[in-house]
Amino acid sequence: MTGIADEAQVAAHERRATRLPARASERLWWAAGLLLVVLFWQLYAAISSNSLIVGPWEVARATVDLISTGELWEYAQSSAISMTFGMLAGSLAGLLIGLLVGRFRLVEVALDPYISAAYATPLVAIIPVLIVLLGFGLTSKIVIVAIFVFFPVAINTAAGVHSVPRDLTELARSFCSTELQAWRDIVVPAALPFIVTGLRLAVGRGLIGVVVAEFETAVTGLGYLILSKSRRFLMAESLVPVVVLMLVGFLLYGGLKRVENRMLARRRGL
Amino acid sequence: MARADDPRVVWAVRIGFAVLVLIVWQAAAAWFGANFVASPGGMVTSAIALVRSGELLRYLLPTLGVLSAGFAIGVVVGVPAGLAIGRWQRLYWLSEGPINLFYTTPMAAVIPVILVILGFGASTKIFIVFVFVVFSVIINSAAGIRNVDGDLLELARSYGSSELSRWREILVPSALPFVLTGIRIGIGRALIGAVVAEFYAGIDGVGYLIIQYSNRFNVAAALVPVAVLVALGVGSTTLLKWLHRRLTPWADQAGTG
Repeated sequence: MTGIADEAQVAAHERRATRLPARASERLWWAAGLLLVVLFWQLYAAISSNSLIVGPWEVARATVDLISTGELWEYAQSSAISMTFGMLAGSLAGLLIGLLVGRFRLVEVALDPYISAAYATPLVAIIPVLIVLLGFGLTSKIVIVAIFVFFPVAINTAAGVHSVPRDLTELARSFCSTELQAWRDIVVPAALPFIVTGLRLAVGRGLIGVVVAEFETAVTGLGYLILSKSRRFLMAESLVPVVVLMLVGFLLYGGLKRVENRMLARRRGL
Repeated sequence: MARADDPRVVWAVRIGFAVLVLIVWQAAAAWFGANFVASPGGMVTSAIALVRSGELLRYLLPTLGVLSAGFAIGVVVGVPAGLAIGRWQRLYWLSEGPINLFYTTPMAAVIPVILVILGFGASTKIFIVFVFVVFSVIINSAAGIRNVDGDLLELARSYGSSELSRWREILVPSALPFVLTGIRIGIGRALIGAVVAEFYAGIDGVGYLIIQYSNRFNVAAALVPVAVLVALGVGSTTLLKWLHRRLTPWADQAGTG
């Protein structure tokens, strides 16, 4: 019953758990950590007797190959289109439902248990079913991404609306502000950091949705590139799209994190 | 709307909404043709058939085995690693980059590659589930230690407490709610890992059952294992929230953040 509050709590945990390094010595250790992983990986690939385990060097060379043939760009473009439209549709729907759930008790009572249940469900399970229903085209991929994105955005938006201190809305009402003014001046600004948290969590989920949908439809996209290369035992080439997805995920996540931290800092400063 | 807080009203609204959805769904299935859009009625019929023939159980057991093994290893490795990372500043800085990088990566993307390299057996699937679980457990355990009240530790040190008693009296109890949150998130990720691995390993497990029936366009039957996964997800989440309240009653669930 307290699903929404719990997810907000998780987000608050994460807010503290992941942050960007500040001091110079801290940065040095941070970079050393990443370097160590790459070195260890290369070393392991070199000594391993399994010829299917390739090191970062081979992956880098394969990246250059795939870029120069234009293959990577072609497949990445297709994934980017599914991701962008899916994110847009899913976040808009999530925002709308989240605001309604946060604002109207009746809507919350009706939807909260189902939204929480869907959030706890491994949504990847419905991907094959959705593809059977919607076909192998772009539409089904957009719908899949939108569904993945919808839940974190809706839950965090609702939590954001809940976070508005009741005193503030009551004060606004007693000063005769209209519903619209209360939304514009109080509710939306207060909910904004939560909405960004929702978007940040949605990016990761959306990427999972795109990739697994592309595994299933097996027509185009980075997911298909991974599948087709690994089935031909071209391990280095199959890891190139994985690295691309890794970087995209990390950059979007980190970028939204910064926006969020700035908002929270500004909010505390008020 | 004080009326809406009456539990009878709450449940009436919830159940009413569910019934409405089911009616619309059944009507839509009738309108579009039940072969294409599975009707709720058709799902129940398929569920009964799958349970009766023992097929559902036969495919569910391997999934549960893989899930529990991978999850257990993930927790056993992740909690101590996270606690250590949270306690020692340099270790934290060193590991923060790689751990966040792996945590934000859509891990599902690597699954076909891992399956090709390590083979399609159960141990590969256990490894995949482990990888899905371990990072959220590490991140949250480390955050739990870093969240410990510094004044308390200072006080303990000035009274000459040993590192061991500091762990026992202060660090572990303070970190426990965070560790449990990490485990809860980990279970959700474990389910994703297991299902996607079964999509491609294609031998057994509920993931494979979903693929099989989807490929035969039998949507109603494909949705039965999906419903089982919904129950697993909701059940494990509820269980962990209960554990959370039970083990750390001092930490108000919404207040530990």
